[in-house]
Amino acid sequence: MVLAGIVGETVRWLSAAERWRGEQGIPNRLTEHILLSAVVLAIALAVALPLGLWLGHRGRGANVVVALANVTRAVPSFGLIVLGVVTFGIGPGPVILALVVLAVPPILVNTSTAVREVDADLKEAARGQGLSEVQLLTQVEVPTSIPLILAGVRTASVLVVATATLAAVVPGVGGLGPFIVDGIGQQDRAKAVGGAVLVAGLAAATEGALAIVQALVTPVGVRPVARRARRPRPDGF
Amino acid sequence: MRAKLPAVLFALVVALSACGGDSDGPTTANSVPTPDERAAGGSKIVIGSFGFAESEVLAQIYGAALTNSGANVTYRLKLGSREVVAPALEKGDIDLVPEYLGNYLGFLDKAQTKGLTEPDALKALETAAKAKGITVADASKATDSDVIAVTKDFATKNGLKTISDLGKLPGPITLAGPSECEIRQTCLLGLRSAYGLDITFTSTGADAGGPITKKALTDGTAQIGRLISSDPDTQKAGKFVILEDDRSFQQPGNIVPVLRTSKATPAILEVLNKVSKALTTEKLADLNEKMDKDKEDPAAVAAAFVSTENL
Repeated sequence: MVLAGIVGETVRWLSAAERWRGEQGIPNRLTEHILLSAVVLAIALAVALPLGLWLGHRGRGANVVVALANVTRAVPSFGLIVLGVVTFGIGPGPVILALVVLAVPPILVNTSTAVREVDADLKEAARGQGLSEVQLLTQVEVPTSIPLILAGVRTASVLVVATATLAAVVPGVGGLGPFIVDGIGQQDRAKAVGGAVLVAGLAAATEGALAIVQALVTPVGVRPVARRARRPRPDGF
Repeated sequence: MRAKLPAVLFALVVALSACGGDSDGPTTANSVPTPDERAAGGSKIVIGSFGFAESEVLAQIYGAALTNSGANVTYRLKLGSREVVAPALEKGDIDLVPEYLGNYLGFLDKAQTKGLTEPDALKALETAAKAKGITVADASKATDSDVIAVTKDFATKNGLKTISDLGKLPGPITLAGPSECEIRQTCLLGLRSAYGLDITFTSTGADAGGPITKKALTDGTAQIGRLISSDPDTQKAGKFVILEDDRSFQQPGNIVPVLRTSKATPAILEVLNKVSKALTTEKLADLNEKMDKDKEDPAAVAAAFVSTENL
């Protein structure tokens, strides 16, 4: 019964006309949230992908960096944001920094592990055929690692989309977080739950979209063997 | 709709777990009030506090004084904001909490929009609390209230002394304050209605007069901010200047113990009233400084206070 009440008032909150226009409206807040997350992911990818590929290809040293990256997972994002604001001032900077720290480890760890774990025989064969180290990386290691690398990107993206709500503590940064934080502070249950539903929906949509991307860019040879291919061809081949 | 239900449930769990806070002891609520009304001996009482240090030390002071008179005290401290603490008191998860006169009145009686004198506010609070099964003990003279403050430089440059003076500034001004400020008469709404100021609001989320609010003031994101009067930066350090509430839109901030009526035996009330009598704003500032600057433990600060004041 309580649940039905929450669902009802949340649906009313989400469907109110004034919720869909203006600076405080859902479209603007959603855009801010997506932009913030996109900037964070672009920076995290630029840092973690090349580093992960290099470490994975090299093989040595990866363990140390992976361990270091995992240590940063223990850094509390909220504390980092407050520290950043006190040090650098109000603005999106501290939020972006805290979220990049959050997004780098899954991408870095997945990328370096995936590349390092590529079948040794496969690498041996590629070298034997005369591939250079760069060719080995781009033509053998990356294509076979793509599912794992993208799994890391997906994890990071969902983490960032969900955690970008912390931006609510910094005046003027916006996003969907203020709906939740202000809703709790103002005893406005519909606002808090409505904001949470929007964030959860956005995180799920991100996960879904990236799953599609993953399916599309995974090379045919690395895809799980489809059942059809195993069936004997009717024309006798 | 079906697809949204798990998300709603998930959000609810997150919201609830975020509100949980620490619990420093087991709940012993709903016990029968003791028949022995001469002394507090045998009374079981669960004392709660808000999420900040001042509230914690006040709760510990009540607790130490009640223990001295024979009550069986347990604590559930640092519960969070009034939005969490007040329902916990009404439900009986806690029995006693150090409250703030005006803010608690504003919480219980949303229609209470005008600034009241201390006796009027106390009378109104007693009526509003009675309906919820809550008894208000004597209020102390010690106060800690929400204040509207500006940086010292901004005050000097623009000759600001009172909140009315803000009307002289050209153009709209920005107020930085916690989420609840946006819907409170004692904050944004009152500044608009009582002073007629052209104000935009920027939320600092859960940061109530803390580092983010102060940074918003010093780097010019906002011109005015909601701070608290017992903050060392508004008092001794003088980094911020409190603007005088010359149209008294804010409520008096006296510290007042409030407890569930079923626990309000004469013996317990007597102890709480003695604590209220012993507290002053200066002593409160000392207690805060011992915790903020000297990093002393609230329990130790409270124990020292109770023994010097002979409570």
